[in-house]
Amino acid sequence: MCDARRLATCLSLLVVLATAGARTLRGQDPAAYRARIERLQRTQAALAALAARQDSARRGAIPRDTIVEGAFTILVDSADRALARSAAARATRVIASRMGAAGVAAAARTIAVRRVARANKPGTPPVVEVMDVDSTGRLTGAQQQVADVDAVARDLEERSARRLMSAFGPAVQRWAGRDIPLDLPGTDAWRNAHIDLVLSQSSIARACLDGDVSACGRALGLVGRDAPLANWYDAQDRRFLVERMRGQWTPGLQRDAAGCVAARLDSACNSVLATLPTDALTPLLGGEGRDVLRLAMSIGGPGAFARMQAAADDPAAVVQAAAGISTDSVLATWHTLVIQAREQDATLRLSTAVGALFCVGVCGALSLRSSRWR
Amino acid sequence: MFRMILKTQWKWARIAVLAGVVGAFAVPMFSFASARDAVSPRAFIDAMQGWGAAYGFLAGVLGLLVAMSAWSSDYRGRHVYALSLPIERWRYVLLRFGAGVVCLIPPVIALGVSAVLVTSTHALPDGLHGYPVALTIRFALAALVAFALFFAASSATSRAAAAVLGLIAVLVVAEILTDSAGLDVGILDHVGRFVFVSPGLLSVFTGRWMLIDV
Repeated sequence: MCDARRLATCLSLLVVLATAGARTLRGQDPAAYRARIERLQRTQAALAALAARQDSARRGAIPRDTIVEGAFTILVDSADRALARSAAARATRVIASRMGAAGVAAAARTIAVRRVARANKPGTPPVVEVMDVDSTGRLTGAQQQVADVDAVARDLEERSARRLMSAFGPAVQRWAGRDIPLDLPGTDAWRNAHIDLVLSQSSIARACLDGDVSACGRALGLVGRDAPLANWYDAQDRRFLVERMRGQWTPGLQRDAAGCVAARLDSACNSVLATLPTDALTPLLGGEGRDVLRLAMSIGGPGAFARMQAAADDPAAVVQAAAGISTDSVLATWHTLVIQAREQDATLRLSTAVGALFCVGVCGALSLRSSRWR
Repeated sequence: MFRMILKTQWKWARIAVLAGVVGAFAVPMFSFASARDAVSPRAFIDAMQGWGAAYGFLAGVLGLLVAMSAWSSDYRGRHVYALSLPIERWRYVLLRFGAGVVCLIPPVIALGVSAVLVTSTHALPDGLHGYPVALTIRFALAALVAFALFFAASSATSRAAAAVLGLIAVLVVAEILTDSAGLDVGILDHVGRFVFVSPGLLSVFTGRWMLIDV
């Protein structure tokens, strides 16, 4: 009897242990385990956001009102609502005119605008702080601006331009800069490109100046990205490059570097430069890429950005998508503008001289007619 | 008669003209001296361009001073001298204008000589060229335009001056009204382009004043 009771107790214990073990084992199933971790992470992020918001609110950091205007949701105190709304409307108008609805959608973000309290001297303009509000509610990227619609709108445009560029891959960002150009191309850009081309000793730049569109593409770094060393530079450029970086080569490369510079061996130049990371090589007109993109977007109109988003992470593909015409056509237009800028920029144009003489004639005639003693 | 008018004009304007001669001779020299140590042709051009505004400013000030000196004596004498002369008014104005133009010649010559000296006696960086003649002609035209403008303004009646000021005020008010109505007309922008972009009346003052360029 006693043995039977002991056996029953042991069996009961065994059943309880087996049930508990099975439950534990079920909890360690990988899918369920991952789901639990994700649930915990979500809870943690939500709690962190809440804590950050509570922290900011406790310190009076986040303004209390929320307005939605165009691409922007703006947290702002009631005193600055009109300012924020006008600035956001203006910035959205600029983005929409250059990037279309796709650009406005991509630029959508939450911003905080709050008045900066400081002991102003009389006559000093009031200042606001413009900040990004990230997904956790933290305020980042604070910039102080004069509390003026133009200044705040410009700030919003710059933030949007950076955000829009972040939609593209590293190759396009490296080529075109940190932000999408929102302004139209100007004569200064073409004049600078002309000066760069004329002053360059490179045969590629000379060919571009003479109207070789393919050479312009190489000089601008639009084509030949797969082998920049061979495509972007001629033998002389490679030698200059090695010479300019003299002192930076490791002892093992010094002999090749000397052979490149002194003996003018292109193979030696190539072997030295091949050790550089591809990112270290910049095209001859690296700084002008942004203006080519600006031109392509102005050709392509407000639909340019939507097409660019669909393009691969390749500057030529993005330029073609932006303009809606072939890259060669964009480059041909760029070349025409560069040459025209030079003609317009001559030290003295005949039309300028004629305009000046006409002005002298008009003023002279007015002097003859007018009289103070009449 | 022209000789007499020129003589009096020179007497009134000589200080301004001589200062203009010194300034016009100095600007090309200083611009080259500031650019000489540039590390690259691009930096050389940028340094030269930095002095570009000095040419336009000098031409404008020279024209203003000579034009004012042409009429200041008549204002002081309440035009008695001019009225006592046995010639028509338009001839008198033409003589004054001509004398003023002659007074602009010495600074223009000084600038030309200085520009030629700079470009011919110094080695220029590869790819760059000197434009002394074009720069001198541009300076002469700018000085002439400034002189003609201020000469006309000085000889104008107060009604004419009011009309010009009124026109400017109308343009500014129209710009403000269209802007506040949300119309992107850019009236002042158009007027500015008409006046300052070639072949605008004052376009000789804008653009690049380059003694040495690509």
